[in-house]
Amino acid sequence: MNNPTQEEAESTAPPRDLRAELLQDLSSQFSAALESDGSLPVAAQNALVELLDSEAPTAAQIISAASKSDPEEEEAPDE
Amino acid sequence: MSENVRLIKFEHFRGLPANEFELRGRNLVILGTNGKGKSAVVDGIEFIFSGQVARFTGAGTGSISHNEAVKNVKTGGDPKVVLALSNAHGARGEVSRALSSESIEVTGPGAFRAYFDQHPSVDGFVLRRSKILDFVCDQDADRYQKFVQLLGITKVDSLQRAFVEAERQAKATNERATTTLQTKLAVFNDPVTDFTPQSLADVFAHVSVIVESFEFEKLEKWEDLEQRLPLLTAKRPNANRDKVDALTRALVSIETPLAARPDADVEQANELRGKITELAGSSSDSPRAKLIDRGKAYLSARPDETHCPLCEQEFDKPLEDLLARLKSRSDALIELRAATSSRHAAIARIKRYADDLSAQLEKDLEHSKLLGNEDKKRLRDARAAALRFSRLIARAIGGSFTGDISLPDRLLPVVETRSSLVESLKAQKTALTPPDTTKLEATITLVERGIASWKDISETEQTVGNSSEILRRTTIAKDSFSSAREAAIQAVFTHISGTVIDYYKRLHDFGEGPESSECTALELKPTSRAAAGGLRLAIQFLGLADSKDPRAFLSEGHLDSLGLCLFLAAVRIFNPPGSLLVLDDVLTSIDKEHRRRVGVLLYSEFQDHQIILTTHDEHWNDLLSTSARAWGLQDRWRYIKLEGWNVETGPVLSVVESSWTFIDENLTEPNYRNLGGPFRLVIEDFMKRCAAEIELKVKFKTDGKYTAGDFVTVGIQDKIRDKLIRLDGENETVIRSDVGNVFGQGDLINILSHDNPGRLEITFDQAKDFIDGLRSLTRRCEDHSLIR
Repeated sequence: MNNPTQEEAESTAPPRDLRAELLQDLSSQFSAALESDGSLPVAAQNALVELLDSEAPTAAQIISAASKSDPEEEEAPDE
Repeated sequence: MSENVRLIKFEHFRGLPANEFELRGRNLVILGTNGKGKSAVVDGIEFIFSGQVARFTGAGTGSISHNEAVKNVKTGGDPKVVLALSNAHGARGEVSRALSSESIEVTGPGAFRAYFDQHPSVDGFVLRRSKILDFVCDQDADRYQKFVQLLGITKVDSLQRAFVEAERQAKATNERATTTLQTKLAVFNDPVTDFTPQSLADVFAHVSVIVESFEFEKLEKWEDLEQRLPLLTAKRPNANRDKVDALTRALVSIETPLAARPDADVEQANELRGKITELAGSSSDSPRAKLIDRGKAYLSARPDETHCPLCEQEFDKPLEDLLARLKSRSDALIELRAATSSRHAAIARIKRYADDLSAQLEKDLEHSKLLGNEDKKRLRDARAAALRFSRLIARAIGGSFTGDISLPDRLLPVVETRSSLVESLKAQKTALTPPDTTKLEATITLVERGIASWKDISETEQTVGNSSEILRRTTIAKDSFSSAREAAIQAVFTHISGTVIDYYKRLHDFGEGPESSECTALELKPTSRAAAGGLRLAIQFLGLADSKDPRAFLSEGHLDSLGLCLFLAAVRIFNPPGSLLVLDDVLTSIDKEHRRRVGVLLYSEFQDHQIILTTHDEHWNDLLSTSARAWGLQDRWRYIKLEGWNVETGPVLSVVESSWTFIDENLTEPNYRNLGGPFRLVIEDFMKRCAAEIELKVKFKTDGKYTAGDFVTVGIQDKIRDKLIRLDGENETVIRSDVGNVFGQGDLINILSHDNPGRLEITFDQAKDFIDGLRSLTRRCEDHSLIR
């Protein structure tokens, strides 16, 4: 617009992609919150964080992800 | 976007029967008093981008007909607005919209279509006077929705809704399991001893105490009951022993509670079936879901794409239409997936009910020898109905039955039948039991009941435990997501509010102390409403601890400038460079100095937008013009004055060529000697504004007509030089040189002190030095707030 000069074009910082920043921040904040709770199996934490990448996870997918157990827990003999 | 608007043409539109506004790719100021057609130009821009003029539609517009309102009253033709565009490569084209057409027409390169598509919604780049306070006075929920739209973060909110729904479903599952457990435990209730078990362990302890009261060994585990039962039955009198035993077993079975009727699940399954049928068209898309998502992502990132990347065929529709269709198909698939998943879960619960019911009735019928023919028939009919129902539900799960589900009528009376059977069997047993063996029979019944149900109850307890754990995890997931969402959104809004307060301070901070902005901080805080969301706007006033709604503190004018800052911050952050920024008469309640600062804000922050301003304020128009020169941006602005309006021709236009424009176009060897008048005007304007700001003591004149000589006589040049050097010592040499070029030519100042300076008797280089020095000084004084 308005044919800015080369110097001006270079000096204008590109607009921040706030949406991408927000989604990235959301993912890391979510992961940190799950980890800090400390009571969810790692497999469930990972599955839940992965869900954020999908277009629109359903409630059933969230429940399924939250239900996952770590392999060692599954293999542990019942006492 | 490297495109810009060369010209806006109007045909039969409002008060613009056949008019053109030439921008030549520059920013445009349209100056005119009321009723000259300024707002009609903005209406036209709104019309071309949205297909309508919002102020003629919706609530509060009464009997206004939109289509009639946008027509020109005289010509009566089809209203049409044309944006003539050009780009950095010299290509030209048009985007036009006529009222009679449903879509826009685009000529020229594909990028011109993208220019149109990449503009946000009209509210995102057009600000009208009547809307300026909306940004301050919006309800929290409306403000949130506005920014969510700007951010494009609807996905975040749909995720939030999914987490809330997951927790709700997990809670419902847990509640169903808990209710089932309580129902199963309830058969061990003993009103005589006021025993109401909460767990299988409670039942075990209770049974143990009673069995031990018959002087048997202590129970270690449930399986021990199998050994105690024959010992207990051995204590019965011989008479009727077998009959009583059979009645006890029958009672244990028939008293076992049936699963709760799944009416809610049946209703939900049928409702979702209707929804899935509505979305039937989308179900054929299911296998292509990933392809649709990839297509959406691919085309969104390539606004100039004209061919399909898979089949290489040229698109037969505009990219905007294709993207809208892909989004619609993707949204429908998401909805279909959620509905299908919920229906499957509901149907699975119905199937479990049918299977449990038929299994229990089968157990009841094992005691058919004790039942009357009528009761037997009723139980058999009910079991047959349960089995048929189970098979039907199996077909529904398999997909071969897609009709509505209803619970068979024959299942309805089974609860009453079993209840009356229990009463009848109890009466028979009481008749056969001697009074002194009542406690023994009650204990045998208890033990039989324990043997029959402890495994089932144990499994149910396990189910409750599992569902409680899933509910716990789902709640953690939801809470974690909520806090992550809040923090992530807050980070974005903190960024936005930082820009808003920066803009606000640039308009209002006049220095330290009492002249600094009374608004010391600003906060945009998302409110913690689970899925709906709100956004609270608060300011900190004069450094007070509490932030409050700005309406509690600010004047009307300051609220206006805060609204303007909110809008401009959103434009700066969200709108693509090169897009239009339209401000329609937005500064009416803002005073002169603040208006000048708005101009400076526009020059400094929005150079990469094409700005269209309308105003009736000649002073602001002059300020913009003067400041643009000071910023060296004079070739980026055009000024059109609407001198009048009549029904035949619409506005009468004159392109304003300011003194600075005249100087720029005539500062040449052949012409410069004729620039005395414009030189006088620009130097007087500079000195008047500086004198006001630095409070220069000038001899008072009743007529207010001060000349350059009045200021020079009292040493304005020395004061400006000294103040600038004090504030910007690094550039002392340049400052001294600029002051010398402007004020050091005594003859020139003397000439310019006359009303009609006449021909300039100086060299061309002196004239150039004078103008370059004045421009540099004006810019420097702007930077250091030495000019009003």
